[in-house]
Amino acid sequence: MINAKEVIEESLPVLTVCAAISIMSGMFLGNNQELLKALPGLLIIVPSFNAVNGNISSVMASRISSGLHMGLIKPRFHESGVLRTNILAMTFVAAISFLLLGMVAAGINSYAGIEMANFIVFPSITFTAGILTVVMLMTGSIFTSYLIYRHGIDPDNVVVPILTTIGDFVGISMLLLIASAAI
Amino acid sequence: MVVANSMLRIIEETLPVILLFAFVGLFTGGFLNTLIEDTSVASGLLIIVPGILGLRGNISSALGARLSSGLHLGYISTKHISNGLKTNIEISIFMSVFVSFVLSILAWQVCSFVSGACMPMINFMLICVITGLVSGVILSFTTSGIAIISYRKGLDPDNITLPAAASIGDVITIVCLLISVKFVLGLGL
Repeated sequence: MINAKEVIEESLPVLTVCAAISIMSGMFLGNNQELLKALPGLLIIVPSFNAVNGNISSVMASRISSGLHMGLIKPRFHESGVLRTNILAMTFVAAISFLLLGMVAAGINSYAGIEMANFIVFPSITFTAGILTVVMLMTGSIFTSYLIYRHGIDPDNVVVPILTTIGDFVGISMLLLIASAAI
Repeated sequence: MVVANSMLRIIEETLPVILLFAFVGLFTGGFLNTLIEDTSVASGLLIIVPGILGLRGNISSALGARLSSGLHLGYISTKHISNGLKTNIEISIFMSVFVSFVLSILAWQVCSFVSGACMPMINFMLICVITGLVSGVILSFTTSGIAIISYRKGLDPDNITLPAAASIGDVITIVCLLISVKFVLGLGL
């Protein structure tokens, strides 16, 4: 049976930490309000961009924790074929997703008559920012999964929410950084 | 073998889902773009956007995960409204409202500390709590519906419920946020 008190006690601290971290992403958005107003096409891509990053890093984290539990991956830093296959595959998925996302968003922007609908520049921004973010997040998820596994904590309850929240922050900063550098 | 499968297999399994939810995210982005027009009257509004989207995503995916376990273990039934389901929905709505409240206070503090130009704290609180409550109610029922229907159809709720709840959650939350911003600004506090 479900114990309401227990669930609340377990999740509230993680949720509050996540809320606090996400304020930083919000600050970044708020501080760059002028850039976002000047380039309305950019804001449209923010939720999708965060969704791709979040999905890729949580898929990665749960794959690694399954691998660790089954003994296919050792919690040490060494040359691992399984780990390499996973990293390469997810990087490929990320590359395709960010390119397509950039092109579709550019299409929507030009259809809706929103500025910043250059079919070369826009996908290049999402692609560059996306790949940089995904590489950072995958490295992060490997490290945290190893650390957490060594301490005997189940990665699912803590790693995934915190990782996706940090991912939002890294993703938004990277997107704004690359966009302002590109223009 | 979950981890040791080939690169092609991993790509085939993950790419369609990730792309699908990326495109759903564009709807959220479209709404977000209309929100920025309100920021001139509701300064500091953008600060709460990642937080409120993130917390809704976390709460609904946790609800989805608990419902899947409950369905697998059998203490949640697909035929009638069981106590397990009711408690889960109540917890989810409670946490949504509570964390939204905490978020609004944090956001107001940070906003007034960093920029100084912020709307009053009461506006932050009302916008966040109304958004948290309304989206919490809608999403708890939607997530439960998706979990129960996918379980009835013999699909593993873990694979469907979590990504679906997160993406639908974003769209619904941003619409609730837009409406509550209009409502609270209309109060003229």
